[in-house]
Amino acid sequence: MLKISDLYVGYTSVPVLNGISLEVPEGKIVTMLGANGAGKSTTLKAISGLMPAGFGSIRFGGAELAGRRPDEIVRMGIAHVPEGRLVFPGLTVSENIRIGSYLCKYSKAELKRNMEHQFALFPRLAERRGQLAGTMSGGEQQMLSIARALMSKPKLLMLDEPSLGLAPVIIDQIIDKITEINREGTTVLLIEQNAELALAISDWAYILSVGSVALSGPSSEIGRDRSILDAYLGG
Amino acid sequence: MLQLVLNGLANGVLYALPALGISLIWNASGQFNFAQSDLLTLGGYIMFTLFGTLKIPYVPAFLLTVAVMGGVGYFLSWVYFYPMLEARVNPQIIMIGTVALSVFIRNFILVVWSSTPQRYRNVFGSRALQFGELFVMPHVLWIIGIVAALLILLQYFLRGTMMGTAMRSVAQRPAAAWLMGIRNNRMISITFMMSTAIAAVAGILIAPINTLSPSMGSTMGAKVMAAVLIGGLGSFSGALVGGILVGVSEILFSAFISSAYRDVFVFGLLVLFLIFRPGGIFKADISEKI
Repeated sequence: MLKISDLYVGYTSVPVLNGISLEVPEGKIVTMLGANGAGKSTTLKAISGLMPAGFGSIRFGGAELAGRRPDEIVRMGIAHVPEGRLVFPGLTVSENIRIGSYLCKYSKAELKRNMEHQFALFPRLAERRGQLAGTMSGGEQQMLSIARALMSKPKLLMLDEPSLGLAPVIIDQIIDKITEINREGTTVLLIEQNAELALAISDWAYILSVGSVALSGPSSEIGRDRSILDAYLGG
Repeated sequence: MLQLVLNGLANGVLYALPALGISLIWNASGQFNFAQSDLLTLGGYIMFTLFGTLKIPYVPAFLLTVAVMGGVGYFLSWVYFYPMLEARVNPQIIMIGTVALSVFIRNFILVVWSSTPQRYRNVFGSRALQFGELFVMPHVLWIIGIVAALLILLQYFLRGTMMGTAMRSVAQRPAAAWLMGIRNNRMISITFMMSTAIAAVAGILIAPINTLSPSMGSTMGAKVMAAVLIGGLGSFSGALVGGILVGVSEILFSAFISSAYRDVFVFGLLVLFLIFRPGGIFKADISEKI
C-alpha cells in the first residue's frame, strides 16, 4: 500500500533520513522503532507532506507522494496523528472532530453519523463534546487527536508516539483502540517508544538508526531477541 | 451625558473595526499590520469616488467598495505577507514593512485623490432625532447598528461554519491544521481579505462625519492601536471593548476637561495600561484567540 524507497530528507543541509526504504502492506500494523533522532517522525512528516522529500520516492497505492501538498495527501487517504497530539486547544471537542473532515464534503447526516462513530469508539470524548480541547487530560487529547484523524476516513493511519507521557492504564486503552481501528480495516503505521507494546500489536517492525533502516522483520521475531533491540533502542 | 456616551460609542465601534482586523491578522499569521488604518482611509476614498463622484447609489457603492477592498487585502497578502512568511523573514522586519506599506498607501491616496480634504453626503440624514431630552444624529444609530450586525455575522462565520473553524484552527496550531488538509496560506489570505474589508466598512462609515484626508489613517491609526493594546492584542472582544473605551472616554474627556488634550488623554491611558496591564483587558489566552 505504502512503499518508500531510498528516501533522503534533510533540515537545511544535514540529512535526517539517509536513504530509508520501507513498506506498509494493506490491512497490517507496521511499527517503526528507534532511538530519539533516528528519523521516525521525519519519515511520517515526509509522507504527509509536512517536510519536503529530498530524493527518493514515496508511493501510495501506486501514486507518487513526494512533492505533493499536505492537503492532497490527506485527500488520497492518509491521516497523520502528530507527536504531542496537537489538538486545537481553543476549539471544543466536537469542533476538533468536525474539522478533521475539512476536506470531505460530507452531507449533514453523513457528518453526524461519522462523528457519532468516533464518539462510539471513544465514549470519553462523547461525555466532553462541548469542552475546550485544551482543558483535557493528555490521554483524552490523544483520543481526540486520533478521532480527528479518523474523520477523513483514511486508508492509512499514521500515529506518532500515541503513548507519550500517558499513564499505563490509558496507554493500554489507546493501544486497544488502535488494534480495533485496524480490525475495522484501516492500515496503521505506528511510531512507539514503548517497543514491547508496539511489537505486541504490530505485524511487521522496522528499527531505524541514524536515518536508515538498521533492522526489519516480523514483529514476533524482532521481539524475540532483546539484546539486539536494546542495542538499537538504547535499552 | 447619555448623548455624549452614544456619540462616543459610535466613534468607538469605528475604532473597533480596524482593531478587530489587526487582531484577526495577528492571530492568523502572527503579524502586526500597521497599514490597517490606511486601508480604512483607502476604503473611504474608494467610496468617495464611487458614491460621491460617480453617483452610484449608496448600498451598491458600499458593497462594491467592501468587495474591492477585500480584493486589495487578498492581493496584499499574496504579494507582500505570504512571500515574507514563506521565506521565514524575521517577523519584526515584516512588521516594519507594514509601516512602509502604510506610507505607500497614504502617498498613493495623495497622488490619486490629491491632498484636498474630501467628503460625501451623509446618507443617514443630518437632522437629529429626538428621544425625549436626547438628540441623536441618525448616523450614530446606523453606525452602531451596522457594526453590531457585522460583529454578529463575523461571530457566526468563525463559530458556525467549517471555514471559520478552519481559520481558528490555523491560528491555534498551524502544523496540525496542515494535517487536516487546511491550506494555511490560503486561510491567511482570506483573513487579510476579511480584515481589509472590515476596515473598509469603517472607512465608509466615518468619511461623511470626519472629512477624508490622506493622513486620516495616521490620526485614526494611533487611536486604533491604543484600542488594540488596551483591549488586548489578538482578542476579539478586546478589540470591541478597547475601541469603545477609547471612543467614549475620549469624547467624555474633551467635553468635560479639554478637547485640545484629548489625544494626550488617550495615549496617557494607553501608557497606564502598558505599565499596569500590558496584556490589555482581555489578555488573549489560547482559547480566546479568534
